Amino acid sequence: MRPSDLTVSSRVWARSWVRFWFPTTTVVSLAICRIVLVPAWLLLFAKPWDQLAVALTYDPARIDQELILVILSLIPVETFHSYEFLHSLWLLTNVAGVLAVVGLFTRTSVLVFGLGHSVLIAHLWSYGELHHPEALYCVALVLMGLSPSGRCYSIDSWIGRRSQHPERWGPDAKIDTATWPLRLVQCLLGIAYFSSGSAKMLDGGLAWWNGATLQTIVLVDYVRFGMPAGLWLVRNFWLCVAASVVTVIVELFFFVAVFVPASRKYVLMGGLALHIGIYLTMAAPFFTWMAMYVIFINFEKIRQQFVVPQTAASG
Amino acid sequence: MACREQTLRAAFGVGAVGFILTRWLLSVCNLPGVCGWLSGISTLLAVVCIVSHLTSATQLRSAILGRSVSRLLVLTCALSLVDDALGVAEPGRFWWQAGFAEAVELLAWTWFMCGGLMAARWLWGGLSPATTSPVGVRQLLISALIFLVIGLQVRVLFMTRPVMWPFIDYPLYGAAHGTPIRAVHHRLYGLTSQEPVAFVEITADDLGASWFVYHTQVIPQLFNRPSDVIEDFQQTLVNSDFPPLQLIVPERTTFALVNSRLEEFAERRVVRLASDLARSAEARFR
Repeated sequence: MRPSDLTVSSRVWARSWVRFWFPTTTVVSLAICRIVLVPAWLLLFAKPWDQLAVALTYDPARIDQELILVILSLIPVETFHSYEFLHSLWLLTNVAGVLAVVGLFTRTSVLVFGLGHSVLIAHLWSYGELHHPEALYCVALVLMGLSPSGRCYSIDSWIGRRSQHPERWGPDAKIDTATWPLRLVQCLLGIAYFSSGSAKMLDGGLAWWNGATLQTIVLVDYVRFGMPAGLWLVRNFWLCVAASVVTVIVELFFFVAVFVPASRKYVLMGGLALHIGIYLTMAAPFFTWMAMYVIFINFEKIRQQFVVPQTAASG
Repeated sequence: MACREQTLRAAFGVGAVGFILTRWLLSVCNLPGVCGWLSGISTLLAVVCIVSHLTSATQLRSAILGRSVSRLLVLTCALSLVDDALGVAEPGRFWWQAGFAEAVELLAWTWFMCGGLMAARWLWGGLSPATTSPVGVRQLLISALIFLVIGLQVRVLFMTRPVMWPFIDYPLYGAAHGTPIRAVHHRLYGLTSQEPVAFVEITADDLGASWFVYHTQVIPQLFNRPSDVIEDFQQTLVNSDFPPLQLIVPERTTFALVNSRLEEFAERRVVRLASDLARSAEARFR
C-alpha cells in the first residue's frame, strides 16, 4: 500500500468518524433526553435514602469497587463512610437534580447529579451484592453532564437568549457536540445487549434454545417472586423455545439500531417486548433501560413537523 | 473469461458466507452430533474461499467487500485451516493452538456482526445524511473520551470480577439447562377470625421477615413441625399489624420439570392457633 493510499484511507475514516459522532445538529434531542431522563431518575428510579444507608452498616474494609477505592485514596474512610457525609452527598445530588430538570447551571448540575448517584450506588454495590439496571443510566447522566444539554428548553437558554450571543441558544442553534453523548449511550446499550446475548451463546450454546433452559430460569424465579405469568410461560414449552430464540436475536442484534436508523422502531419494539416479558414472568425490573430508549428518538425531526420555520413564517 | 470470473466470484461469495456461518455456528454449538459435520463443512468452505481468491486473475478486486476486506477474509479462512491442521497433527491443546482457535472464533464473530449490520443496511437503507465538519481540538478530546468509555465497558466484559461500577458485564442467565429440576414454592394463608371471614395471604413483608427466612425457615417449619414454632409465630403475628386469625394454612407446592413438562404437587396443612393469643390479638386489633 502506498503512503498516499494510507492518507486517503485515514481521511475517509476520519470523515466517517466525524459524520457519526459530530454531525452539526440542533440540541433539541439532547435537551429532551435531559428533560425525560433526569426527572425519571429523580422520581422513579433513584433509590431512597433508607436503601442507600444500608451500606453504612457494612464493614468498609470489604469495599471492592474501584470508583470508591479511588475516592477513599482522597478522603479518609472515616469521613466517607459516615452518615453525615453520605447524607450530605445525597441531598446535594438531589438539589442538583432539581436544578438539572429546570436547566439552571445545567452542565454543572447534571454532572453533579450523575456523579453523585454513581458514587452512592457504587458504594451500595461495594460489598459483594451487585445489580445491573442502574449502571448504564448513571453513565448516561454523567455523559449528559459533559454535553451542552442546557442549550435549549432550560433557564440557562432563556438567560442566554438575552445575552450577547443569542444565536448560540434555543432550539434552532446548531452545534456539532450535541450528538456524541446520545450516540455513546446507544453504543453502550448495544454492547451491553450484545454482551448478554453472546454470553448465552458462548456459555450455553445452541442448548440455550432448547426451551428447558428458559423453563428452568423462569421456574426458579417464579419460586422466588411468584409472578403468575412466569408459571404460565413454564407450562408452555414451545412458547419457551420461541421466547429463547427471540431473546438471543434481540440481544445479539440490538446494536444494529445504533447504525441503521430505519431499523430502530423494530429493534426498540423488540427490546421493549423483551423487557416487559422479563418483568411479567421473572419480576426483573429493567425499566431504566426502557426509559433510555428515548435516546434513540430523533426529537428534532418530530419538532420540524410541528414548528413552522422562521423564514417561512416571516415570508 | 468474464464467465469464469463470475463463477469464481460466486464461489468466493458462497465460500465466504458459508464459512462464516458455519464457524459461528461451531462456536455456539454444543451438540456433539452436529459439531463434527460443521467442522468438516467449514474446512471445505474455507478451501473454496481461498482457492477462488487465489485463482481469480483480478483477485476479486471488484468484490462487494473490497480488496483489503476480501484479503482479511481469506486470512481468516487460512487461520482456520491452520487450526484444523494443528488439531489433527497435535490433538493435545497447547496454548498456541488454543490461541489460533480463539483468534478464528473472534474473527468469525466479528464477521458475523459485520454481516448482520450489512444485511440490516441493505434491508433498511443507509445512514441518514449528516453534515460533516473538520476534526477540531474539542472533537479530538471528546473522541479520546469516547474511546476511554467504550474501552472501559469492553474491558469489564473480560474481567472475572465486576469491580469497575458503573461499567459492569451482563452475562445474565448464560448457562443452559437440560436436566430435570425440582423447585418448591411456599405460601402461607390465614383465615381471619373477624367478620368478614376470609382467607388472606400472609407475606414476608407482613411478618417483617426477609424472603430467605420466610421461605427457608418460617413456612417449612410451620409445615413440618408446627407445634415447635407455632407460639413464636403467633407472637410475631400479635406484634404485627395483621388482623387476628383463627387458623393458618402453610402451602408447599413442588414443581418438577421433567422432559420439558411441568408437574405440580400441592400440599396444605391446617394449623389452628391458640385461642388466648388469638383473643389478645383480637383485643389489640379492636
